Amino acid sequence: MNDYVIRTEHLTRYFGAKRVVYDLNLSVQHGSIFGFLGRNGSGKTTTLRIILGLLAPTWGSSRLLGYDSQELPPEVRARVGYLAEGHPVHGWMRVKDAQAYQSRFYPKWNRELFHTVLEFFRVDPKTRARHMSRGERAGLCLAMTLAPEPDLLILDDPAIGLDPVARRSLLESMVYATRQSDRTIIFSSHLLADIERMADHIAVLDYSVLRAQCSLETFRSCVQQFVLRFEDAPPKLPPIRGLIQCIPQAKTLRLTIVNVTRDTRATLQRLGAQAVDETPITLEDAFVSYMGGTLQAARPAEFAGQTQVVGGVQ
Amino acid sequence: MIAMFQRELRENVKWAVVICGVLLFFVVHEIREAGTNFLFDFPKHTVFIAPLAGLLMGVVQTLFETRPDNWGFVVHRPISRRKVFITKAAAGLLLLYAGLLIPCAFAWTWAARRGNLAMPFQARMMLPMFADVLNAGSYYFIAMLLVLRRAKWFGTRLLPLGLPLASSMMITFFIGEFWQALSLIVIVQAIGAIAACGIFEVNGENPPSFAPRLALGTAIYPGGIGVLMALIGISQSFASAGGRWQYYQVDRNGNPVRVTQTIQNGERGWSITDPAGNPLPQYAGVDLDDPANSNLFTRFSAHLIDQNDIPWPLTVEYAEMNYRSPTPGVVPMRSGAPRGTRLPFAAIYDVPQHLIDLYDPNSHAQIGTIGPAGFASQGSAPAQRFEGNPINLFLLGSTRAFAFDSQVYWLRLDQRRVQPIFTATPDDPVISASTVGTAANSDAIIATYHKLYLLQPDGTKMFSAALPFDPTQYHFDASLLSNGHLVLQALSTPGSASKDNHVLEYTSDGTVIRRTQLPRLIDARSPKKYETAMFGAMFPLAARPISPSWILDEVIDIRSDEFPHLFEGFMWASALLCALLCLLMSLRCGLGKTATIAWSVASFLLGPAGITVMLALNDWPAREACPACGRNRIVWRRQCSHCGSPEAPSAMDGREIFEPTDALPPDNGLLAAT
Repeated sequence: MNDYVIRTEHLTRYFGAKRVVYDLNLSVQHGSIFGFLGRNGSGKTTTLRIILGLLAPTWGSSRLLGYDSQELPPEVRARVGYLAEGHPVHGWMRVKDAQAYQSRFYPKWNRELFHTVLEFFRVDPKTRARHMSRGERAGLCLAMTLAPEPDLLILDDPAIGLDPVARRSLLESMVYATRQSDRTIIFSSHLLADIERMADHIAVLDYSVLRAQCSLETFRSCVQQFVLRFEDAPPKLPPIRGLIQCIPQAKTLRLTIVNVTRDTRATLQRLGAQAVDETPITLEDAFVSYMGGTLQAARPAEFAGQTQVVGGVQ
Repeated sequence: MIAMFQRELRENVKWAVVICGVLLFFVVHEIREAGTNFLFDFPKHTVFIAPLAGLLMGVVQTLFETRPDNWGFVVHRPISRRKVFITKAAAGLLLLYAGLLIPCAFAWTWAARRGNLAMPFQARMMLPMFADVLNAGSYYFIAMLLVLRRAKWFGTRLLPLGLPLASSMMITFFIGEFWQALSLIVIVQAIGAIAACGIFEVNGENPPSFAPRLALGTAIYPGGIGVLMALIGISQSFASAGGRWQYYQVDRNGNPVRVTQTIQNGERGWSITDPAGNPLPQYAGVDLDDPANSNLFTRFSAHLIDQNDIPWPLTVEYAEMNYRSPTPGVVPMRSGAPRGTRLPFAAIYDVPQHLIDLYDPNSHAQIGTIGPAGFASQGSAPAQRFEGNPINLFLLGSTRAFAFDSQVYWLRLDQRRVQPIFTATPDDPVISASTVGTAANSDAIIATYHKLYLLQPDGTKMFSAALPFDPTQYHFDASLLSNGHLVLQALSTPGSASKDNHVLEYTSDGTVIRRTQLPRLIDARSPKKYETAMFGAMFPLAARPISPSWILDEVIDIRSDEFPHLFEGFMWASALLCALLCLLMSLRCGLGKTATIAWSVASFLLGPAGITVMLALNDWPAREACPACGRNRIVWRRQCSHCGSPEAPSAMDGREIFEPTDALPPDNGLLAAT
C-alpha cells in the first residue's frame, strides 16, 4: 500500500453545474512514469490540481506521498516538482534570476542538472523569459522544476505548444532526469508519441470519468481490430459490448473493440460474414479509436441501430 | 520568503515610482500655487490619489495570479500560501507607502521651512495627508480581493469596494480624532487583508474557513448598503417630478413666518403663512427668486452655541473639531477689523502658543504677535499670552468677538491690538460670543450659561437678560432689527431632548416683547415620505439602536423622526421578509440547519444587504434529477437530500481497461478481458 505516491478515492469536482472530474479512483505507483491521457476538457488538469492541493474536490479524497492533498506540509511540497500548463514564469527573469530565485526555496538544488536541461533547450541565458521562444521557456520551466530533484514530478501538458525539436528536448530532459533515480513522473498529454516513448503506465480520462488505468502493453492488447468481409452490403450491427469504432467500406466492416471476449467473437461470427480477420493495430490508432469512440459508446442504443462512425466522428 | 519579497519588490517598484511621480507632481503644483493653507489644501489631492494608488498596486500585484497555472507556479513551494500572501502584501505595502510617503515627506520638509508658509508650521497639519496615505492600504487589499475573487463583475465582485469607500468617507467627513481614523484604517485593512488572504489561498473561490468568510462578508456588506442607497436615489429621480419643503423665517419686523416652497415640473412657487398656517395676504404670490425680495427676511449672522454640547458627528461636520481641520491648531482671523479695512498682514491665531501671529502675506515672514497686552514685533517676546483656549474656534473667522471662558475680547487687528470687553464670573462662564448688527455698526452679543449680554464694541453694556432656554438643549441665532430690537431664535440642538423652536424679540433695554413657539413642521405631502419609507426598508434592524433619528435626519436627510411609524414599519417588515427569503434560499442552497438559522437571523438583523452577502458567500447550487427518487438533487452533494441515495457511480460502457490492483474500488473494477 505504501508504494503508491498518489491515491485518489471517489474524487469528484464540479464547477457550477459542470462535472469535470467524477468518481475518480487513481493510483500511481512509486517509480513509475505515468501518462495521463484525455481529450481537451476531460479533466486532466483539474485532477492534477486537486492532487497537488491547488484545488479542493467537491467530494472524495486525494493523497500525495501519503499526505492529504488539501493539507500538504511545506516539506512535502518540496518533494514534488510541478510544471504547470503553459510554462508560467516571471517574464522579467533571466536564467540567472530564475535560478537565484528558485534555488532559495530548495536547499537541494542541483545546479548541474539545471544547466544541463537548459543546454538541451539551448536557452540563451541573457534573454528575459518574456522574450524567450515557447521551447526556451518550457526548458527554463522544466529546469526550474527538475533542479530541486523532487521525488515526484507532475507535469501538466509539458509539450503543449512546442515544436517537434523542443518536444524531443523535453522528453530527453525527462529521460535524463529519471535516468539516475527511481523518481516518479506523472504527466498529462494529448500526444501519443510522447506517451509511448516515456510512459510505462497510463490513465485515460474520458469526459470526467476514468476509463482506463493500466500498462501500455495491457492497453495495446485490450484494443483489437477486426475486418469482416461480406458478400453484399454489411448488415445492421447488433449491440456489441466494447465496440468503439466501426468503419464501413463497400463489402467490409472494420471494427475496433475493447475487451474482446468469447461472447464478442460469437456475436461477430453470427453476423454472417464470409471472413472475420483480426488485424494488428498501432498504439496510436488504438488510442485514437479509443478516445474517438466516446460519442458512440455514450449512446450504445443508437449505435446498435444504424449509426456508423468513421474515425470517431459522426 | 526573502527571495519572494525581493522578487515582488523588483517586479512592482516601477509602479511605486509612477505613484511617487504623480503625487510629487501635485505637491510641486500646490507649492507653486502655495496658499497659506497649503498643508490643509493638499489632502484634496491625497484623498483621491492615495486610494487610486492603492487600487493600482493591488491590481498589478495580483494580475499574474488570476490564471490558475500562474497561481500554481507561485504557491507550489515549500512555504505555506499564507506566507506567500504575507510576503506579497508586505512588499506591496512597502512600495505603496514609499511611493506615497516620499512626496508627503517632501511637502512636510518644504512646509516646515520658515518663510514658506504664512502661518506657524505644526506637525498635526500632516495628519490628514498621513491618514489618506495609510488608508490607501485598505484599497490595496480590496483591489487584490476584486482581482482574485471569481465572482461576476455585474454581481457582487465590485461590492467589496464599498468598505474602503465607507472608510474614506468616515475618515474624511465624520471622524474627529486622528487616532480614531488610524483605528478605523487598521480595522478595515485587517478585514481586507484577511479576506484577500483567504481568497488568495483558494485561488479565487469562496474561502472555506470562518475568518476569511466573515471578513469577505464584512467587506461586501457596505457595498451592498451603498448599492441599495444608490437605487433609492435613482428611484427618487423617477418617482417624483417635484418637491416640497417647509421652513421658518423671520420677517424684517420680527414676525416668524412659515415658508412652503414647491417645485412642480421645474416651476418654483412659494406660499408664506403665519406659523399656525394661516395665509398672510401681504405675501400672496411672492416670488422669493426675485432679487427685489432678497431682503424680505431677517438674516441671522450671529450664532451662539455651547461647543461642549454639539453632538458627534456635527462636531466634525459643522464645528470643524477634527484632525483634518486647521482650527484646533491655527485659526485664520479674517474678521478682526471693521469690514472693508485691508490689513497689511495675515492674522493667524496660534492655538498652542496662545498668541495671534501676524505674517507678511508676500514674504510669508512673521511680523510679530498680538497678545492681551498688545503687539510685539518679531524677535521680541510677547508681554502676555491669552489664558486658556478660545471657544467656538470654527466661528472665529466670521466674528470680531474673541471669546474665552472668562473673557471676551474685541478684535482690533487694524490697530494691532485686542480690547477686553467682558469678564465673566467664575460661576457663569462664557459659552459663546458673536457679532450682531450692520457692517458699519456692529455690537457684541455674548451668552453665558445663564445670561445674554449685548455690548457695544468698547464694552459698554446695552442690556443683559436671562438666557431664555437651557444652552445644553438649545443654540441661538441672533439679529438686530432696524428698530434696534434684538431677535433671538432658540433652536433645539440636534440630539437634545427638546424638540420645539422659539423666536423671541427683545427691546433695546432687554425686555422680551414677543415670544413665539414654532410648531414642528410635519408635512404629510412631503416627497421625503416615500424616500423615508424606502430607506426604512433597506435600513438594517441591527443598526437602529445605535442610529438616533436626528443623525439619520441631519447626516443623510431621512425623516425617520418626522415619519416614525412609516420608517419603523418598513424596517421591521423588510427585516422579516429578508429573514424569510434567506430561509428559503438557504433551504434551496441545501445549507445545514445551523447555517440556515444563522443566515436567517443575520438577514433579519442586516436587512436586504445581508441577503447580498449570503448570496455572495454561498454558491447557488446546480441541480439534476436523482436517478433513485426522480426529484431534483443538488449536484454538489454526494447524497440526495430527498432519498439519501448516494450519487450513482459512472456507468460502465464496456471500454474500461483496468489492471488488477488493490487501488481499484469494488464498484469500478472491471478487469481487462484478455
